[in-house]
Amino acid sequence: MRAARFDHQRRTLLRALLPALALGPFAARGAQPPVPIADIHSHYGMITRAMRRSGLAEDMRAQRIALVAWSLPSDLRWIRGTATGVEQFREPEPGSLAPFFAEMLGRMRAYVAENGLRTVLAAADVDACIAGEAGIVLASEGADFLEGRIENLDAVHDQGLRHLQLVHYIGNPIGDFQTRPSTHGGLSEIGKRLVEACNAKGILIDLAHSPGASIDQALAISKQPMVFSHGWVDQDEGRWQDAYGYLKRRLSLAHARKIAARGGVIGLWGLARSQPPAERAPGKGTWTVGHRDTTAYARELAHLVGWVGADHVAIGSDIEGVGRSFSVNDYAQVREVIEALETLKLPASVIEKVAFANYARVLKAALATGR
Amino acid sequence: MSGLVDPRGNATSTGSRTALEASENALWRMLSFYGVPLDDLDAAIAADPSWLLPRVMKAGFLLNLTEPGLVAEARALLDAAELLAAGANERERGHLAALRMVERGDWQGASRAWGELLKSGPCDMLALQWALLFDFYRGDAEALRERVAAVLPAWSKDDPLHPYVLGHQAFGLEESGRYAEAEMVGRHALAGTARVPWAIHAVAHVMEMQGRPDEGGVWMAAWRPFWGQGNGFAGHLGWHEALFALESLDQAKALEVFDLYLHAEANEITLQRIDAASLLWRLQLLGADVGQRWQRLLAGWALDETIAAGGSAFNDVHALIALLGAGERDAATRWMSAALAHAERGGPWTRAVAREVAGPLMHGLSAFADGRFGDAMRLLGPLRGAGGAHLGGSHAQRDVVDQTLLAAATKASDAAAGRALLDERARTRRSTPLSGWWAEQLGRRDDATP
Repeated sequence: MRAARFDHQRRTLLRALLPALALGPFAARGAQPPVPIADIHSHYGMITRAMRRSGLAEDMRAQRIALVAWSLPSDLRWIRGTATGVEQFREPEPGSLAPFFAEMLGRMRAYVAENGLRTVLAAADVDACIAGEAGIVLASEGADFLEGRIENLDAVHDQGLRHLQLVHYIGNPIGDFQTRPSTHGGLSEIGKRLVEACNAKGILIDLAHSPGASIDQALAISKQPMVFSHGWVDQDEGRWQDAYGYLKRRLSLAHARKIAARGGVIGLWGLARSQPPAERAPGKGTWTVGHRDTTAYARELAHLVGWVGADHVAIGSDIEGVGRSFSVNDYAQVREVIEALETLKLPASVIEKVAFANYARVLKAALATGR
Repeated sequence: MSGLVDPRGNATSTGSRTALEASENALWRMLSFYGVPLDDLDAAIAADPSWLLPRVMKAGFLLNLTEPGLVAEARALLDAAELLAAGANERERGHLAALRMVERGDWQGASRAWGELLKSGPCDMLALQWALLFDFYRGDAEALRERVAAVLPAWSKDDPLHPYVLGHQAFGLEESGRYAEAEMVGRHALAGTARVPWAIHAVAHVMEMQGRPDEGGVWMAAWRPFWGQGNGFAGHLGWHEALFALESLDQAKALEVFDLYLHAEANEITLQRIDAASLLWRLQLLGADVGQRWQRLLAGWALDETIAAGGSAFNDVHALIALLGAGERDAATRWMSAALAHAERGGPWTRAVAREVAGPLMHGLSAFADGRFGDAMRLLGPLRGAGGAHLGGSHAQRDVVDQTLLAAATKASDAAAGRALLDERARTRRSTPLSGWWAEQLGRRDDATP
């Protein structure tokens, strides 16, 4: 009865207001300014596109991409794609990892400068980007450039690196990674010291590619929330023996929740399968996203929100990192994902958390401790 | 006639640099709330008596205060400005026309007129400021957000007034529920050297709406040097600081803040008194002893219903709250009748707001004051959220409806309705000591409350 009266009141009021609203201050009212987006793991312009002609900056500006963790694979020269995933195909020459990384990081910095993007170095830069600028968080996928020496972190920090994934695809002195058998029992002693060093310098730690044992150890050490920037979450953890790379890269729900419980964030990647299952079947290794299927990507994000909470989910597109197996390959397509979240009727406050706010929060927390 | 161009590229019809600089000072005061712009505008008028805009700005400043008693003075200024219209440019005449609408009570028409000015001049800060103010007075969150989004690309980040535009952007986002973005934009507005109390205010709103009273208290204290003294916004920001204290169930602190920023002698205008009334009402809902503060508030508030009522539904409702709070039941009834009758003589918007929002709200508050709690719930319930938005003001200001409903549910022993309201609020707010207290009053333990 009360509801009926309320509806009647609303209709009456609307009737009274409609003539005025029709002439309102803006003809096209109702279309909200786009929510800023943060991509917490992207290789845009590094692998399948030529960096200088990639159009990254233009795409960021056109799609209101506020923050991109622009992640340089520190082992890029030593890995290759196969039919079942990515693998190391040769050993780095001693002393070759650091120069490679420095050269590539220099190219990235030049691109950022030439295109007027903002390099995110401090918490205030994050606010500036959410307020309208397009910002790059210089990131590394793997800490191979350290060549086992923590003190080498200073140089890359000075060059602007603020987001560091501990391991990637090649054997390293830092720790184990999901796609190979364990050799360190999780993180090595150097790896554990690296976690402390990142905390001290104000570098966000990225646990992507790390197995559960490493995650547990990093969580025990780190004083700041961390991210698992790209991958997906299943009931059980992936195993290095799994047939395909995407299965090996599964983060267990238990570990996702542990990361979340410490204030961290899980980035869901834009990987696509050729014949994805229609429905999620927890524990069955099902990833439901197909090629160019931004709606399914959005559904997976919403699903993860249900699993770990709205404060702990983000977009880690892995653009170019997933090769041709992508659901999104540029930021217009990432914008479609956000619009699909709106279609799924997620509340605005949840969408903005997934779109940018969760990454902004953990990044600011990490940067605030820097010295 | 060719005139100077203001620092944002807007043409003016004055050739006097002194007049232009004085009007720029006045504009900055309007944006920052530091001091009152009237002296600057008088200086501008003295420097160029033939320039229309300073007179219009002066009239606009007076009308912005929503004081029925100031309308006559504003009208005289607009009349004087009319005589100068032939020498003014189109933009300046546009401001005059918009203010004429305000003077007649057509706030929506004025907002629309300023919106037109912004289409051709997105860096017309005066148009933006006034349009947003009247969007706010009409509770139009969408316009608060959209106006800034539409003009922001035209603004240089180096413009000294850019942080003030960001402050507006932050508030529009907050009123649209985009809290994270609002907070970061607000913080960015404050990252430079500009003093932007409106941005402090926007972030305070975010913290209020998300149930972060501890952070809110720290925030207000940290930025106090930018708002606490010599600033016309101190009363309202003090109100926010007191709300954080209330949310933490620290009634003593809330009263201390009231006595610092909202005491009777500090209140010069209705916009300050409504904050005082709102805070005392909320304190009283929690059973606080507010002493003689209601009486002192009313002593300085000229609530002659034949003159003062009917200018703003939002103000009228808060005046009623003050009368009810003070136990002036007969005066409250007279006030309510006069305010609603006056609104009936207004335009379609004013009538619709009075009939659909202000009327039920006033009757609901009166029912609550009379102890008719079931009636209060029936009348106030539909006015929550979007149902009451056209009253004007912010979500935080209109939250007085929710707080009164919770009290009514408690007193009516309608625990189910009260719990449903608490559950609904919990979707966007963290649990706070205040929400825990209400849960306890409704006979439920709020496990999430510390």
